[in-house]
Amino acid sequence: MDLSNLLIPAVLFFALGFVAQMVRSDLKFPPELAKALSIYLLVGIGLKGGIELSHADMGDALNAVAAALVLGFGLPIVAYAILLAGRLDKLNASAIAAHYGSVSAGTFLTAIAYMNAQEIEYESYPVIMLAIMESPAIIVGLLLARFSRGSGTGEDDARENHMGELLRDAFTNGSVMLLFGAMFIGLVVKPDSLATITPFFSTLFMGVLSLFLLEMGMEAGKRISEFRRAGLFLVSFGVVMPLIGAAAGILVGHYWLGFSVGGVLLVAVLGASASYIAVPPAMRLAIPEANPSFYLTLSLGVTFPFNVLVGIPLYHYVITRLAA
Amino acid sequence: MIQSYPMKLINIVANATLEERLVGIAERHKASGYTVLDARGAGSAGLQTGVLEGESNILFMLVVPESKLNEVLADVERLMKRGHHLAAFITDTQVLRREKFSA
Repeated sequence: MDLSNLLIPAVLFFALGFVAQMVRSDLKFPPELAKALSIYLLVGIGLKGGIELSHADMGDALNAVAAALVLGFGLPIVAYAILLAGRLDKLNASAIAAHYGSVSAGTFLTAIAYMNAQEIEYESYPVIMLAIMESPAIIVGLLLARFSRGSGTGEDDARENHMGELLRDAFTNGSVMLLFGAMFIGLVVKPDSLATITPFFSTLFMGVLSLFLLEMGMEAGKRISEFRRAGLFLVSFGVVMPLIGAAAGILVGHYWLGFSVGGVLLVAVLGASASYIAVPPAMRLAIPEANPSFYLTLSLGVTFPFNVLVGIPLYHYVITRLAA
Repeated sequence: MIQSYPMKLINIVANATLEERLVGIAERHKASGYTVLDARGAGSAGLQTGVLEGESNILFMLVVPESKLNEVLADVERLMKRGHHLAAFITDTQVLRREKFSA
């Protein structure tokens, strides 16, 4: 396993942010910057996916969609079962499970940067899978929580209304709209027209990603202090669950979808990653009883750094052995 | 001496995702208006750094006459009973234009 492949700007800026936080530097980003950068990144990756899709095979694309749904609905259930086995209460388990069934665009893009640096090719279908996998886990989390609360206390009607609203929110959430919208635009707009915007989204892309990851590194570092509150079981879960998700992604990507090494790595990363942008606000509303400190700390403080610093090269290694 | 009138100021610190609900409460009780500030901090929900949407807070400010206080607080308490992590502070305040804040 060649760790010098990690010496790419994306990963190093992430590490820089982490270190800056650890040494208590007063480095601070303007408040809305991360949100602005993530809009740029989601539009950029969506556009690229849409452009690739315009010369892709419909059958393969639909296959990828089906696989995404299987992972998106299946992984949160696996996560839920493990958390319950560890004696976590049902509502917290539902909320955390929703995070692990969903995906992190930041981790996905880091994997792309990692492969670009080594000139590894990859299919474009994982980008569709990224867009699709944002929401199903939210729905699963909602349903698990609903069953956990059992027969209501007369608040059932209120919950019914909320369910519809919350489901609608799961599908119209900002990240999903940006990804699908940008994909659609990349797909239908003629190349000549697209050429007016693609330079903005391609030339600057890795630089923006680096700044975004710098801030995410700081955010991850801030969460270290919350580890104690989360406890050993949960923090370990934050390392073990990505491995399980990656394994599921590798099996799906290699045996079902038949992607190349690069494509399988992206599917593995989709399985291994946990959301920290789209799912936390959804869970705040849908499962308010759950402790946000748990799911944010796990997703942002444990799983994200683990995937970026250890996971990606590890999964790559396993996949190349498998393909050989 | 300028004439001022007593009112109740309700300050609510909540996650940014609750803004719509809180605005709904203000509108339902025909409050004349409300103000929202971005906030960050820490508490029972852990660290809220204000960087990502799931960990950003708002300070929701509402001024109501004492007659409306209980009904507004009842709605806020309903949110708390659902499990939402929020904090509400009620203070006495004075305003210059009484008609602006009464129904």
